[in-house]
Amino acid sequence: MAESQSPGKSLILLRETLSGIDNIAELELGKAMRNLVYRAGMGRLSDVESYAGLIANAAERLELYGPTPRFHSVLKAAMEDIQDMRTQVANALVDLDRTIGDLGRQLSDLFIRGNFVRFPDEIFALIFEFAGCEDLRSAINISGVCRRFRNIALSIPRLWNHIHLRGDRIGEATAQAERSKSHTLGLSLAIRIPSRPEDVYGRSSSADYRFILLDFVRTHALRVTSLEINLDYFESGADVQWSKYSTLSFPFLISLKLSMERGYTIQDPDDIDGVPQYDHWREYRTWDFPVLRTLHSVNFLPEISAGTLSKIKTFILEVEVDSDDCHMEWTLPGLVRYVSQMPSIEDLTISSLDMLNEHFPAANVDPLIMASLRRLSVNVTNYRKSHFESFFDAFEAYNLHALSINIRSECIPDLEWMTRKFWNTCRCRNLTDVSFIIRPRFRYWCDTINPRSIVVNHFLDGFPNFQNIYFECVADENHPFGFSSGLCAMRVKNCSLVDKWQRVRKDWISNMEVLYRRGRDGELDRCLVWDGVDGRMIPQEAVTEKTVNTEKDICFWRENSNE
Amino acid sequence: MSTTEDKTRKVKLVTSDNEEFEVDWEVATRSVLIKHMLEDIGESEEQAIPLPNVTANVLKKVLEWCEHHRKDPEPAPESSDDNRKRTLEIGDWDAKFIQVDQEMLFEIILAANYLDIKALLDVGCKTVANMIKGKQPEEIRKMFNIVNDFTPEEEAQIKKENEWAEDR
Repeated sequence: MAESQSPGKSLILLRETLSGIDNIAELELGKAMRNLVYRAGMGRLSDVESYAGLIANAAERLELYGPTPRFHSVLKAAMEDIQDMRTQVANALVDLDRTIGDLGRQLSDLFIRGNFVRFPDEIFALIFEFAGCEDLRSAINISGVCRRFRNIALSIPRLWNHIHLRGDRIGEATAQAERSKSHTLGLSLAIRIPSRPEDVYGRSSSADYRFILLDFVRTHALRVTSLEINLDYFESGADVQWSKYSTLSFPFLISLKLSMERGYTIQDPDDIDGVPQYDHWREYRTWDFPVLRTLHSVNFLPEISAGTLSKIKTFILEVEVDSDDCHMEWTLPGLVRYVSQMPSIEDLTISSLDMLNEHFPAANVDPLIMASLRRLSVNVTNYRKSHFESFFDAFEAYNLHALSINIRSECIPDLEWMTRKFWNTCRCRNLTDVSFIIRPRFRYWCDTINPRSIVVNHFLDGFPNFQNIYFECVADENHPFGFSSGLCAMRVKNCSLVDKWQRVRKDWISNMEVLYRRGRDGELDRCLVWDGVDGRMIPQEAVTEKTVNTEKDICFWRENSNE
Repeated sequence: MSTTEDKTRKVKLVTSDNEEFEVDWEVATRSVLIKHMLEDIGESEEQAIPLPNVTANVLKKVLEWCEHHRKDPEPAPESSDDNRKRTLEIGDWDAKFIQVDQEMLFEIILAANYLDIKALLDVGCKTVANMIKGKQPEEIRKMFNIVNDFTPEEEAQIKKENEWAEDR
């Protein structure tokens, strides 16, 4: 329809052409439309209906005058009017939907702004607990909103009972402990102070401050249920009097984490059967932990009394390994001897198990029968078939329910052998859950730099006008069956605006990945999920998630696994 | 412990706007309040349970949740409430269920609190917690139209506390 022929104009044409047709309704409608003013809650849908009805009636009346050719153009115009109106109504519907959405949001915001404060305190307390639990930043923000919020937040001990003692901030730790004191139990205390805090905090470290920290621990020892201490800071000179801190008692401590930057043994290196003794601050050895059940150690094997070790249910040994440099001195016989002191152990995690020759002396190790062990998790850094065999021969756990193995792709040729030998129904008859992660050995190409860094940096550095990169590559920690457990692809947009200095660190992509995961609470980016309750057929949508060519990858790794 | 007879039993609920809902006993007793009321009135099937603090449109939504969770284990006793781990995780179905406008969210939380349905109350509170988590006090004030009523001294103390969470 021509733009000059608005629906109104067609009707005027109709009126002029046909005498005798009542035009009063048209005049009334026109008047009504001119006076149309929107008032909330008084919508005029009837006006639109009247307008459409008028055109339709006019067309019907034209038919009554007989199908003469002279009415053809008028009827055509009327039809176009109706069609045009239909288009306009459709457009109006889209606009109305959008407006309904906008108004809904405004209404919703307005409602919550007016009614949110009607929540009783106990509901606010629950909301704050969810928002601020183990998130001191959010707890502090909530307590800084208004007096009511502050009173509620300060009355929730759980918001304040995770204390991370850093540097010289004993004052804030004391204030936090005060806020959580009505919570008689459940204080979680982490003392993570670098071995030389003066380097970080710009003040001279003194023995006195170490005493202040230990005094703080002693003050709250009766209600601490979780304690984490970095022992490096307490490493002492001979003149320091530590004795008064060697008799601390933690009657409700359930979980203890002790860490060291690097654990050097002080025992005779030829005494491979003994439990390793480490050179570090050792006053904790005589602390009393009557209900300790979880022991987590980093880079050493803590010297805890036999009575306490005998009740440990969960033991986590974390050994840091940097470029084949292991931060802990250990041997398989020493490790077996240590774990043998935990006859009640149900959950054993060793991360990372370095399989270099120095940890596996030639001597035979008597197998340790771990009847109570239900879950075993091992992260292997350097795979050696013979050492892998020695390790699993040394730890026999026939009641195992869950097994988790994280291992490099060099093991692929031995997969069939190892699964048949170690995890068969005779040896692990109760096994129900298995997690098996094989990490591709991408560093095969280059000892230090990940191939994704090489490719992405190459383009970012070499092409000044470059704008977009999309790069897809299985990350180091992914395994070869197409199930991604890390960042498989990355996209860099507007490359020319990327700050070059942001990329000075060699593995900046890994840092980006860490940030990505942190923002998603460690969420994995994609994974195939096939739920048995969904039936026997593999769901089609899961197959489309598969992004890695399985056979090609496995063949490649198999061909290169011996190099 | 529910019996087989209980599972086939129907319960009548009457909302504040006088609408009557007939639901399975197993669904209705996701609410601890209704469960206790049913225990009080005994076997009388005809007697309707009045719910003066819940409107029909909210109860309909709450019953949708109860229907989906009818087979869930019994809620933990009050004493273990303190040991419940506070995480912000919401199951897939619950996350979709709670995608409602804020007015309905508000009403669901109040209804769950009144009807004593802990798991539903948790879902609602987690949703609001997600809205305020990580936000600055001023953002929270603006979002909920809250007046800052601190004295200058209190403001100074709060400013000092803000340093607590730095460099963590």
